[in-house]
Amino acid sequence: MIEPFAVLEQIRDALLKKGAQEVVLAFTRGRGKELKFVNNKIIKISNGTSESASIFAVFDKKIVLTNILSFDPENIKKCIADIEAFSKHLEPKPDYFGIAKGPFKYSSIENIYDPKISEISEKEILELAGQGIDAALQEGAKRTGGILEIGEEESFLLTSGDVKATEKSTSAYFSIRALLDKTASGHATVAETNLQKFDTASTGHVAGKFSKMAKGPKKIEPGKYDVLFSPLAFAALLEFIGGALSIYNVEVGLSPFANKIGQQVAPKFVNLYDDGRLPGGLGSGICDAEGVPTQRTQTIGAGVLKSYLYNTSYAKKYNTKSTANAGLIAPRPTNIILEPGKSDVEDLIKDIKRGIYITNLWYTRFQNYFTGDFSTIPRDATFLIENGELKPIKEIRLSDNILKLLQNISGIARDQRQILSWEVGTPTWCSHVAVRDLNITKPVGA
Amino acid sequence: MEALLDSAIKYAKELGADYAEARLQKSKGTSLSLSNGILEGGSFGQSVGLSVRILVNKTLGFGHTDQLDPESIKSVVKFAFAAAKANKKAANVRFSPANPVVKEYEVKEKKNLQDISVKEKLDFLKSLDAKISGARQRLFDYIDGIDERLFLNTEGTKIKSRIPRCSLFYIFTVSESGQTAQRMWDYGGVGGFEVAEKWNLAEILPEEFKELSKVLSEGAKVPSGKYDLVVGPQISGIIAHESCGHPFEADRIIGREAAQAGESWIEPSMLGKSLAKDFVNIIDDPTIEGSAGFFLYDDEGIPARPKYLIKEGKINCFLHNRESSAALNQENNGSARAANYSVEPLVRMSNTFFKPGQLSEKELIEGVKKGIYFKNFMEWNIDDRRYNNKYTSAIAYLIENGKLTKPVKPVSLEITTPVLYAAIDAIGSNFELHAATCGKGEPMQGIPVTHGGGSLRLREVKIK
Repeated sequence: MIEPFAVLEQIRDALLKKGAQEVVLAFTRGRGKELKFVNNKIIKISNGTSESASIFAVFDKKIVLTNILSFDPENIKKCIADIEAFSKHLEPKPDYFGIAKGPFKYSSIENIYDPKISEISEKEILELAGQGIDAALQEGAKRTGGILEIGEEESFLLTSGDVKATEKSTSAYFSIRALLDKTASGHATVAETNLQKFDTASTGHVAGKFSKMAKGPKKIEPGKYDVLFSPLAFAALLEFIGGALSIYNVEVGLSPFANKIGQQVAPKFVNLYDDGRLPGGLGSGICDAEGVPTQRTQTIGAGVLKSYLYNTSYAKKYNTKSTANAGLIAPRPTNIILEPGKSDVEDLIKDIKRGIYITNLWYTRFQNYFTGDFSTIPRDATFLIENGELKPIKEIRLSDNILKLLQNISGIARDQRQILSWEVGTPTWCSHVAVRDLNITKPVGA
Repeated sequence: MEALLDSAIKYAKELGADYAEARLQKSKGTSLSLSNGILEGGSFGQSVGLSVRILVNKTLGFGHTDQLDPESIKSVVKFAFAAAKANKKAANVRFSPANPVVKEYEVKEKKNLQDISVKEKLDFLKSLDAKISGARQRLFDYIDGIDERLFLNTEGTKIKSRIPRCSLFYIFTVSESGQTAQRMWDYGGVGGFEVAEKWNLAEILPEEFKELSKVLSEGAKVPSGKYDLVVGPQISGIIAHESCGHPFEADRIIGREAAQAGESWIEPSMLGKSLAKDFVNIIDDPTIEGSAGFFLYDDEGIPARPKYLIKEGKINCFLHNRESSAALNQENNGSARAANYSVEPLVRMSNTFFKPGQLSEKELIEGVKKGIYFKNFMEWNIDDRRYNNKYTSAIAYLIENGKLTKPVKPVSLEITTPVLYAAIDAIGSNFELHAATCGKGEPMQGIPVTHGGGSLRLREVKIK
């Protein structure tokens, strides 16, 4: 097994000698296990290992990114020569202003590594999945499908800006869809950094319960409805919002938040954060991709757009401070956090006289990222809320605007939890959220 | 490398696996990203890794690693075997029979991707960017690479392939009188840099910029209602992909993707059922030379071939891999694809399209008294059973008395799959294939595909 910092130092020194002004090197060692179940049966069990090292080198504002697969001296020499040759064909990025200058002091983050995940046996993985499947079936579901993933990662970061950082992290993810029949289903996921909170049985119960509640869905008329989103559903929209706050996305037209800093983009009770230091956050780490110590950044405060997400170069360009969100090319969110409210979910339901409860979303697509016009499809258990009662419905679509959706938030529940799902790749901490007056459409023929 | 794969499957057999296969993948390539005319950075890189898939205890075991030493490989195979063996909730995973095949094939590059300098590729991107410099925001991402695969299994199959490919994604924003509109699209194909030069983007991009600007400045707002509709190959393609290709994937039909990509509104008993008029044929064909979805043997070593998913208007066959074809007791048609060595092969599309008809696109339009010509789209989605479709236009025109008269603001076709297919009145003789990356599976696997065909004429469909 190689000693990562020793080879990273060799590569850094060789690149600087060749004329690179800045170098960022990252070595990652990972191990993962995964299990897939279909129709209540476990059909596939996987495991894998990987080691990779990425290289970011800057020659007179010309930016090269590459990787290296083996660390014998000849290969390192060849890789350095290739980088130098490649850089000569590139053009400088005039608005590139450099990486962070260390050294930095890092403080550890609670609960991002669980040694029990490293040691988990095949038997324990099978049991964890089995508990989720059985729980959904106990609730009345007829079929279940899903995945369980366990991972651990060790990373080493070395830069020409006096950064030397290393840390370990672990992850556990369980996603279960429970089906009563072709039209009644429920979906739930759990994502944690440790096994202690990784409750597959409760997750199975939620999916199974939803599948039963969704039995016999009816069609409804299109129109304007107040909508209650479950955390799983709203996280799919929040993830877009969190990503759209990257200054890179603002610059290239993939964000509706351009020129809106200081503006009221949501009601006063809405607070949104990016927090790379959140204990238990799957996006947490001691530093970002260039070594800046992570922080908590308020992006929306009392409904006002406060900040985009920056790395050091973009921060210098806009005369502000890095928010520790590097991405060496494009800043990116860490953990997206919607501050929980004080309401119970039951209170939010009571407040909606006639509306819709959406428990999962998928296939969110934008007509215009700059204006925020989009549509998305409620999937799995979806209900008409009428006088506090939930009646299953089907074949609808939410077709509206993301800025309007933010402005129309009418309530946030207290039940915040961490979400990862097929549709949510960035860890997103979210509660049930109520939004007034959204446009619900349905297809011709339904 | 072949010896490593061979010893890996032998080791799996020694442990007691009923079947084992090993897949090695080596990839290398370059990418460039140009935003608002400025090069963000250039990258080059490579990856090498292998996976072993075994069948034991009616369960699939899978191990992958990029550490190509015998001990690392044995370690992932050992875990896969032990875990599959210990599975008390085993299903009945079976594979349909396959004849052993030993083949080697490669796609030749006319303009070798590694001989074309990065500067030339960058100049290509910059020349495209210059064509739409009036757009307020522009992003171009170019990627090329060479993908080499070696597949071995315990049945005696050995397939070696080398496929070079290049692709481009772009998005731009136009703005007129305080309003904006966006256009994004993908191009891609198999071959050398000659593929990129054939995209004809130097003509297409300024035309799209002009047309999109006109939609903003002159676009008429069309009232909701029933119209005849002519859709171009970009829309017919996405229809073929989303509402025929996906629901005809047999792994969805048997519930194998229930929690992820979803299931299907199509059931096995629907084979032979009529969905559309008898001139409607939808084909999935991986063997089209130069296409982004090209392959000659799938990732289970099965020969690729064209499949009529819809033949003469009827549901004709599903897309299969060895597992789904065994489950449904149907013929396997070689549709197993894996995005990379670290993931299992799933049932996937390749190049999926409406077979062209007799009338030109102009003639399709001439047959419409009052309607809309939908040239391309921006927003689209479909539910996970592939029943509830929506396609919203980017560039569209009003058709009056058989002629395109004026641009129209975005309109949406939101329609169920059966109603959509029943409304097809004619298919154009024009033929285009458009590249895309199709996502499926968990962990997510993005694979290159194309979709397209002739233009379609739909009668009396509701537009919003």
